[in-house]
Amino acid sequence: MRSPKGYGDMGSVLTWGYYLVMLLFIVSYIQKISLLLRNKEGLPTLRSDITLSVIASAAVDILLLRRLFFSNPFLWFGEWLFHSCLALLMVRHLRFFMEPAPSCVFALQTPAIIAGYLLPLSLIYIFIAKLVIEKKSYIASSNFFLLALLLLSGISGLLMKIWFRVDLTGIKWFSLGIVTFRPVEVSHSPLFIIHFVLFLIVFAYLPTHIAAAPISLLDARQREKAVRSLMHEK
Amino acid sequence: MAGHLKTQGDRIAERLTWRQLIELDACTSCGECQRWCPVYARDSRELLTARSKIKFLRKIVGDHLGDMEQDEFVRSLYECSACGQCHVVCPVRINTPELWEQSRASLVKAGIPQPGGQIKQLAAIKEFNNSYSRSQQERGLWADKAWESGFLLKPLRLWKEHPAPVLYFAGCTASYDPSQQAVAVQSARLLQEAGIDFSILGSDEPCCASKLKRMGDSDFLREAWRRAEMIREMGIKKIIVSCAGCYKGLHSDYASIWSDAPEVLHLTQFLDLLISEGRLQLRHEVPLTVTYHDPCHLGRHNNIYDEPRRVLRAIPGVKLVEMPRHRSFSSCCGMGGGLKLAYPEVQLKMSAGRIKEAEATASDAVVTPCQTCVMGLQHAVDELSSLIKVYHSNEVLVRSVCPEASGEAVIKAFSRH
Repeated sequence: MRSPKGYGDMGSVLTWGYYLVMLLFIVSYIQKISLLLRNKEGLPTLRSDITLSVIASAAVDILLLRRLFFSNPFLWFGEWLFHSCLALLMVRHLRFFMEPAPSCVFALQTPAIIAGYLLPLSLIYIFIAKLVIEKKSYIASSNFFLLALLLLSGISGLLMKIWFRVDLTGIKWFSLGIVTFRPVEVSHSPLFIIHFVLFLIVFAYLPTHIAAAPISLLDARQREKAVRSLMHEK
Repeated sequence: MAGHLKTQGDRIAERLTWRQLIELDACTSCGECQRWCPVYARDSRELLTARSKIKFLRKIVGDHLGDMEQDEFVRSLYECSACGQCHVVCPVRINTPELWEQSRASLVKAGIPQPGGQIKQLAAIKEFNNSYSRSQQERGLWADKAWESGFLLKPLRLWKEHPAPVLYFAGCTASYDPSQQAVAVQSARLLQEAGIDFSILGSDEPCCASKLKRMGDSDFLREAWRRAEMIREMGIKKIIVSCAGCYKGLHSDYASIWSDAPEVLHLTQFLDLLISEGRLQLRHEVPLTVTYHDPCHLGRHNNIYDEPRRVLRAIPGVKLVEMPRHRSFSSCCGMGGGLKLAYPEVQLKMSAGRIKEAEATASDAVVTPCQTCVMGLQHAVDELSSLIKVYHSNEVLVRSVCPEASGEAVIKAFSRH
C-alpha cells in the first residue's frame, strides 16, 4: 500500500513515533494504576445510589462546563467553545482512520469546518482572558505549553484547509497505514508533518483530567444525592 | 502488592480513598482555585492554591518528597482554612476540604505532625472534652448564671431530669468563652420566647470533636462514635445547634457514624421555621443596615444560605445589604480548619479583608450566625480600628424580641459572677 508520492522514510518515522507515543501513554496508565493498586486492598466500586438523573446531571456538568460558567463566565465562553470545537474536529478526523468512514462523520463536515476556524480563535481568547485580564500568575506553565501546542496545531490544520491544500487521499493512506500496522509514505507536505508531530506531542502531554474529571464530576453528583451530603453550591 | 518496601507516599496513599486518588488526576490546573482562594488573596503565593497542593499530592503518592518540598507542602496544607471555596469553583468539582482533611490525617500517620498550636488544642479536646482545657463541671454554668441574672423566662432543665422533645446543644465556645456566652443565653431565651419545650445537657454535653477531623487527627472516628453512642443511648431525637462548627460536626461529619441519626438543625433554621409559623414574635423595630457573612460550615459545606437571611429580613427595621462576595462565593474569615492555631497572622489578614468588604457596603454591622466567625471578624475590627459592628445574628434578633438579653448586658452580668 503506497501513496502516489511522498517521503518514504519520514512516513516510517512518524508511524513509529505514533506507536511510541501510544505505547508510552498505555504504559504510563498501567504504571499509574499499579501504583494505586499496591496501596489499596481492592478495586474502586460504584456507589449503589447511582441513578439516571445523577448520570444526566454529571453529563450536563461535563458537556456545558457548568461550574466554570458560575465562577468565571468570561473564561467559560472561550473554554466551552474550545472544548466543543476540539471534540467536533476530533470526531471529524476519524474519517482519516476509518474506511469506509461512518456517515455521521461526513454529516459533520460543515460544523467541523466552522469549528476549524473557531478553535484557534477560542484559544487566543483563552490566552487573552488568562494572561491579560486575570493579571496574576493564573495560568500554569503546563497549561500554557499545552495551549500553545493546540494553537499551533489548530493553525497548521487551518492553513492546510485554506492556503496550502494537501493531498487528502495520501494522508488517508498514511493514516490507514498506521491503524492497520502497514506503514506507508507520508504525503509530501511539510505543513502536514508539522501538524502530525504537534498532535503527537499533545498526545504525549495529554492531561490526566480527560479520564479522571468525568469520574470526579459523577462522584460529586452522587455525593449531592446522599441524605446528609457535604459541600454544596448555590 | 504485598511485601514491598513502603515509601512515605505509599503510607499517604493508603489513607486516601480511591475517589480522592482519582481526584488528584482530575485537576486541570485551570487556576480557578487561585482566583477565588481567600488565603491567596492576602498572600499571592502559588503554593497556597489548591492546584499546587494537588500537584504535591500527585508527586508524593507512591514516592516521596524532598525535605524542602515536604516543608512547603505541609505548610500549604495547614495554611488553609478548608473553607471549600476551591471546591465551589472547581470545574471538575474536586472535594477539596475532604481531601485536605484526609491528607492531614495521612501525613500524621506517615509521621509528619500538625503544627504545634493545633497539637495543643487537639490534646485539650481529648483530655478535657473541650477546646478550652476547662473542667466539664463549668460547661453548664452559663445556664445557671443566665437564670440568676434574669435573662431567661424560666430555669433551663437538664436532659437527664427532663428529656424534652428538643435538645439545645451550645457547644464549647458558647459554653466557656466569656465573650460568646451570650450566644448560648440568647439561643435559650429565643427558644423559650417561642414556647419550645427543650433541655440542655449541662455538664454532660460533650465537645462534638469535629475539630479533630478538621485538623487530621486519626482519633476522630473513635471519639465521634463514642459521642454518637451516648446521644443515641439518651434517646435524643432532635438537636438544635447554635455553633456552625458543631452543626457541621453533628450533622455532616457524623453522617457515617450515626446508627439512628437524630434530626440536627442549626438554630437559624429552627428560628426561621418558628418565625414563619408566627411562634416567635418580633416586637421591636431594629433600625440597622446589616450585611450578612456566610459561615463556611453552614453555607458552602451545608447549603444553609437562605434561612439566616430570612430571619434577618423578618426583623422590622433591619435592612440587609449583600457584600459582592456572598453565599457560595463568600470570603472566609479564616477561623476554620485550625488555621488560626497554626498561622494566626494569616487568619487576621483574611478577617481584615472580609471587614473591608463589609465596610464597603456602608452597613452598620456585619452579622453572622457563627460565634467563631464573630470572634475572628471582631479581632480584625479591633486591629483595623473599624467602626463597623460585628454581631451574632442572635444579637440582632433579641433586640427585636427581648432587648434586655443583649450581648452587652449578658457579658456585664456574667462578669459579676
